[in-house]
Amino acid sequence: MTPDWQLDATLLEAWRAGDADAGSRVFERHAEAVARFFENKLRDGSEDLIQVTFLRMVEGRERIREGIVFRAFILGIARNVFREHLRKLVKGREVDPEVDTMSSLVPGPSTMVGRSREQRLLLEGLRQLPMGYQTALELYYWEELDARQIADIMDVSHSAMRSRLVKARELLRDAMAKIAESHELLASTLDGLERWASELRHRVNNE
Amino acid sequence: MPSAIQPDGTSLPHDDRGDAPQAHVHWTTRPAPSFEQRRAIAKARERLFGVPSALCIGRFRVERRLGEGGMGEVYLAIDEALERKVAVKRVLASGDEGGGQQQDRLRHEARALAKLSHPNVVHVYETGEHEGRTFLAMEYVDGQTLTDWLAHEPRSWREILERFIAAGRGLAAAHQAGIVHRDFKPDNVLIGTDGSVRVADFGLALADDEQQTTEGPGAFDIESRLTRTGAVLGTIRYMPLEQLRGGRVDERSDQFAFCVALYEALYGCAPFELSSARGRLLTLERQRPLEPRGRAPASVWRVIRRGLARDPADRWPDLNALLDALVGRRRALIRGGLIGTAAAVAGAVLWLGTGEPGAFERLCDEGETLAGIWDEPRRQAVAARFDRTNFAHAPGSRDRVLANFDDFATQWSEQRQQLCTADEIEPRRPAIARARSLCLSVGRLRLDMLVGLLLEEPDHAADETTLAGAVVASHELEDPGRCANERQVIILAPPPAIEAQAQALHVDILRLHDLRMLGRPDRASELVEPTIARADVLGHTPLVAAAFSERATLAFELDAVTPGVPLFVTAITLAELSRNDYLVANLRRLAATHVAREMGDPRMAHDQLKIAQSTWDRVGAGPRDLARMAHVRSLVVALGGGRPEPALLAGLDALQGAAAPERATLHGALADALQASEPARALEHGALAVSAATDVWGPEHPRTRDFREKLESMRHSSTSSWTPAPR
Repeated sequence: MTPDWQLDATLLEAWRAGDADAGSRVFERHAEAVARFFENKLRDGSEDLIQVTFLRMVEGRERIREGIVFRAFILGIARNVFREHLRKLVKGREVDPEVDTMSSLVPGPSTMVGRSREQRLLLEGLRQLPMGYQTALELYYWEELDARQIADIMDVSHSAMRSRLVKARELLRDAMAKIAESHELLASTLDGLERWASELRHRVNNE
Repeated sequence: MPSAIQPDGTSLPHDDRGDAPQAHVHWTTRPAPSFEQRRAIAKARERLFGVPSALCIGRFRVERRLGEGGMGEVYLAIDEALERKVAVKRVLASGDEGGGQQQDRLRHEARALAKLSHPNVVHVYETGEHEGRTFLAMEYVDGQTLTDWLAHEPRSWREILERFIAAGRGLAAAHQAGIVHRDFKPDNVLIGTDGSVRVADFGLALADDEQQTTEGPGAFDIESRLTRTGAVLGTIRYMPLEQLRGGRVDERSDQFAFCVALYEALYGCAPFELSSARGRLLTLERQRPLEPRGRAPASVWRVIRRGLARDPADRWPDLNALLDALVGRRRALIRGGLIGTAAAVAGAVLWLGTGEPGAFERLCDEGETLAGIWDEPRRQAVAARFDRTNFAHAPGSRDRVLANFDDFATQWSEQRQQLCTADEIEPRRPAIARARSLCLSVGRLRLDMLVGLLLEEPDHAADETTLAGAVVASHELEDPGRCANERQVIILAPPPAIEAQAQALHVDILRLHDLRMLGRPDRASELVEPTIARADVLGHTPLVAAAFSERATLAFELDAVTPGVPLFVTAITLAELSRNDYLVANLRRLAATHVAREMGDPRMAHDQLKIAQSTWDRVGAGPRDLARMAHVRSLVVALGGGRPEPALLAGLDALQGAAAPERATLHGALADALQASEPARALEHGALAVSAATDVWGPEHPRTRDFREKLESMRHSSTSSWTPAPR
């Protein structure tokens, strides 16, 4: 296991044993990823969900299995927290992550301000996807997780996640094409996305 | 190589670029943590570990996010030095690249805002820089936006107007300080829990426009511009053409936005179609605002309409002028309308004192419409009134009564619309506006009265006559277009002090007329003396004249001999005294008929006719007036031994093909006149008389039956007379 994993696991154990400093360190290491997980999905109140996610992690008894990336572990919890929140938000209505999109469930601008045009297009495009696809892509691009790790978080098989990612990218391209103000912007956004992914793979490969 | 760059084993399309350049990725796919994200993290940290959030904008400690718009995020923060809540807005320049010029301009505006203090403007306490962005610390208003306030429950137009006028005052104060809002909309107006109204977010849209000018007018592409600046339909819906085009934006652009917002609030729909950005641009270039429908006053619409002018130069000179027009039209009306007699001045004082609306306001602002007077329920009730009987003429009479009332209602509404949406209130105009309003108001009350008479419990012995008379009466409703005759309506308008009594009396005098038309002169007779007495007491000469005129006409109809003459003389004298030319002309015509028929005096009849004619020339006779005059002239000519046909044919010409009761009468008179000399032509005119009568009264109407029977008898003999007595 990587030293990072070792460190996270140790810190979590210490926090569970009452060491607030250790907890604080775990928090600093992962809070941004957790916040990012919620941000493009909610308009308000993400501090509550961040808090609940970490509380649930520290109060849980579940040990992190070896082989599970720590970030995948905590984002798995975040995903559950988010799904519960969503159920409250839509007042008991059944939410189908394969169909419902955040733009329809929580309409209105997300935190688009201050972003570049490409980022705004990407963020809005993601919000137009069925939630399951949105989450998968965000984990893939932003959290640098691979299909197997994402599959663990989302409780699906590895092969299902691979085809879902393919599908998700098609959907994203279509969604962005619909809302892009110009062809050039769409092209530069897609290009940036692919280069990002490609560069990422390179880096991981070379490590 | 592709497999090498996919350590996770996925085979995503487009990922197999082994030769992907290590070029600089010019934007970061993973979004940098936003300020809001950092705030959420800090807040969660505080709750989990008890570390107080140190996230501050300037010296203000951030508590929670209040909202977010195209121009930035607003946070509730604490000013710990002054121990008060503040709203802090972090203003964004377009995109990431907040140009220096924009930031400078923004700072300049922010400083100007900080100097502005007005009860209807959200106070800016201070401004500063935070992480490269300008921020404004503002008064925190506990309450809701105007948008929420409007949506919360149905609001009366008065409530809405009150809020908008308050907001407008704030906007106007900013204009005087040299600040243009640029993004006025109900979302930017805050209504405090204490009911205060404050405009927020001044001048902050500036940065967007600044950037446009650097691209030059040739680079203008509205859709991409709007998208890039984050503007969505929700924002462009308030923008005037010059702003959508990226042209010069000034106070008058705010005025336009203000008017769009007020229009939407009052009428519940948009003044211009709103499809897309480009569609909106075309709409604003080509179209005038849609005529609103709603309870709000037409005079308010008049004010708004000017503010919505496409060309800024055609709008109000400034927002205060617009607001004064919204607030001050009542005052203007009083100033201009009531200068004159002592009674009028007294009335004006009374009016001012009580704040009672005048005739114009009642008509135009307070929904004095035909609702409840001639609307669908009333229409159905009248129809049912005919349908419950089995008179042969009932179906034909019903259709004609309904059609005539409908026509009247349409014309009345057009006149009202024309008056209420007239553009200007010049110093002398209010008196005329008031007089025209009173005239239309009487027309409305009279229709109400007539419909009421029809819907009364039927007097069975006389019911067939009443329903047949309804057709006649419905043809005799005074044309609402006459209320546009300024000279006449001014003369007839009562002074404000007796306005209400005068209107009631006027309708009662018209009741005498309508009862006579309905074939109930007996009932009119019972009412005539008390009505005359009331007119005498009130002392408004035009109404005294009208009452005397009714009495004379009634006497003429009931007992067509001598008692009519002195009554006519009195009525004519009064009519002339009151300068009511319509009445004079009508009375003179009736007098000529009377003299020609009953007294057989051609010289006197001719004199009366001449005076009637010259009066009509002055007042402007309509086709039916001309036709009636022609008929009387034919009588006078015949009395002097001449041929009546030319006059009668001229009368038919005057009708210009219109279906009118006079057409039947004139053809009948022609048949009479030609019966001896040219029987074939006489029969032709007899048949035309029947057909005209069928048109105006219906096939089975008693009057039509009379014409038909006479035609039949003419075919067999040559003795019967055609001409029914003219009124």
